Amino acid sequence: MIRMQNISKIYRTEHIETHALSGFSLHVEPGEFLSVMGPSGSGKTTFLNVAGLLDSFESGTYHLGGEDVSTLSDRQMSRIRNEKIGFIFQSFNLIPDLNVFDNVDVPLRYRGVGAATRRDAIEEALEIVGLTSRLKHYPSQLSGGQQQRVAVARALVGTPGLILADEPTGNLDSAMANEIMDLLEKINEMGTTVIVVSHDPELAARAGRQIYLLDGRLIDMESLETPAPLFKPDAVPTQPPTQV
Amino acid sequence: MHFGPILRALMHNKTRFWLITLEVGLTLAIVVNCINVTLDFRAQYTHESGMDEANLMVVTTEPFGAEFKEEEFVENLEREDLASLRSFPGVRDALATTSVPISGGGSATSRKALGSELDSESTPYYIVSDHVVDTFGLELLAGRRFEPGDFEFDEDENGDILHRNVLVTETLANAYYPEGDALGKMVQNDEGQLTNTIVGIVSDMDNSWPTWDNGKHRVLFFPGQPGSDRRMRYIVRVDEGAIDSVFSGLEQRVLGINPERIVRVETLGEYREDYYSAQLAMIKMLSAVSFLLLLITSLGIVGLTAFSVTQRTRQIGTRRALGATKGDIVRYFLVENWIITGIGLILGAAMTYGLNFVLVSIADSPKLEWPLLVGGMLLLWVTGVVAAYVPAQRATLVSPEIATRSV
Ligand SMILES: Nc1ncnc2c1ncn2[C@@H]1O[C@H](COP(=O)(O)OP(=O)(O)OP(=O)(O)O)[C@@H](O)[C@H]1O
Ligand SMILES: [Mg+2]
Repeated sequence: MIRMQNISKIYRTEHIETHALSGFSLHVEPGEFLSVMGPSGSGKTTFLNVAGLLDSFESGTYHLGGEDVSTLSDRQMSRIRNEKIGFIFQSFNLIPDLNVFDNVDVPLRYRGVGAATRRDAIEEALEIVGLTSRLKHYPSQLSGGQQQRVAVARALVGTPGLILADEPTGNLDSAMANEIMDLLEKINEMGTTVIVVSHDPELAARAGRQIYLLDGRLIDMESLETPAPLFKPDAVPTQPPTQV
Repeated sequence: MHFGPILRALMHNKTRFWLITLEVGLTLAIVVNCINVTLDFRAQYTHESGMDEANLMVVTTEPFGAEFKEEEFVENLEREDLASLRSFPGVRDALATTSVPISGGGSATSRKALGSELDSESTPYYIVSDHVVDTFGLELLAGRRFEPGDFEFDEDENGDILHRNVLVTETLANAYYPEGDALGKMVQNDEGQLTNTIVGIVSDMDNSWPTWDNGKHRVLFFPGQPGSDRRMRYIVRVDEGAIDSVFSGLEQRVLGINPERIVRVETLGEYREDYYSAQLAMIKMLSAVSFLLLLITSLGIVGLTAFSVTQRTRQIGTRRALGATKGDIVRYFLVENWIITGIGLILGAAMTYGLNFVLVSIADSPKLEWPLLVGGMLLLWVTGVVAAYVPAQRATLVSPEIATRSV
């Protein structure tokens, strides 16, 4: 599904260059459920942006679903984002002036599908997240957990092969967070590749595979006998990772 | 395309746009009504006067010499002036008159068909020398020009001329005799002691008050001796395009005959400008107001669109992440703008007719025809699209990775 080789991503501001990703390589197989961990500033979001074609990168190669994406036009990337990728964001990013139905409709609109097909897909997606009774509600009338479920429905309504979630539970309490993870698990079981960034080791542990980032590099946990000191105290996983 | 959700999103957040909608509507109402008044005025202002206006000049003399008190002196001088003017190189013909058409100054009297029981017709008139038809550049439709005999008549003890022959315009002739058989017939004043015989009918021309609708094209020419000790006035017709070359010489020509007077030479076009000057000024002001309103409204639209774009950067980023192309984003803001101006224009159409109704009833403005309204709506719509385009274009600069930035 994802083949990244030696990716580097540099943010340049006036005074400093930040190597948000350097020499980053990763393979993700179709159908995998991957969680991404690492301290703040380690490059998790940057990785997700590159993986989701939201941002460019300086060097390296990236194949998504077998296709080299480094040479695509902005238009072609938009199309891949629309058809092959579903996004879930920490701050939900629902459109405040649209009701639940219209929010879930957004990616389908950019695909140009007929109204009847769209309606069926939207209802099905909302069925999966359990929100069929809230079609006419606006985001401000929903709880955080409900909003994120709408966002999950929006991510999966176009049946993408890949779902990318950046701390989807970061703004939710643990009960709601678990609900969202349940949903992601369910979506993964239906065959979709899911990559989720999480700060919460317990939630991250529910993924089939976990990777760790530090200073823009992938940490090979197996080669480290005692990985814990590598992490800054506030970002240390509460239990050592068990699997890479 | 995304018309439905864009409209629904707008309706969910009406406060954002209702002001600009109102502004668009008001602008339409005011601009269209201004244009309506302007067009109506333009039609009136550029209306053919029926005279050879482009080649007509007016020579006004105000005497200060003592001899002018004698009637006979004035009469002789007038004859001399006319002969001299008519022989000036480039001059085609000239006449003496009491007042000038399209000047706002003149006289009117009452006449009606001889013996008629009806109310008399208001009759603007000029007392003129001969050469009337050819100096004004009119067409003699029926009858004859003035002859020397027409200038010989008796006055009664009050100084009234009980009968003389006259020329009238076609419109006035038909007002007296609607059957169209006025030639050779007589007209009378209310009391009936003054009568005139219509010896010639000329093509229509504007009188001193071209904006006076009920008097339009009514002119009666009395043969006589228009000059007085206060003023002697001539209308001079020059050869086609010769106004500039003749203009400078006329003053000296007239002063050469008798220098004891102040001489003013003007074109009839200047009289027209003077006559319409108040309206011309008003039209200029209305145009300025319309232009300013259009400018303010388009700036409003620029501002609103720019504001929407800045306010919705996260939304734009999210839409880009979900698959919107840059084109989709620009189109979103343009469609939103179309809806806002569209609603404004529909509101504005009603307001336009409302304002026109008020103007028609209180200011005697012309009634609004619908093609002008449609034209105005189109104008504002295009203005809106142009105004929204640049700020909408700025939305394409929002990168999709905005969506993953933490708030
Ligand atoms: N747009 C940007 N401009 C400049 N520097 C950036 C930009 N985005 C990220 N960075 C820098 O790149 C590095 C990686 O950032 P990134 O957002 O990927 O971290 P993260 O692992 O997602 O952190 P967190 O857990 O806090 O979300 C950080 O040092 C950050 O300051
Ligand atoms: Mg992050």
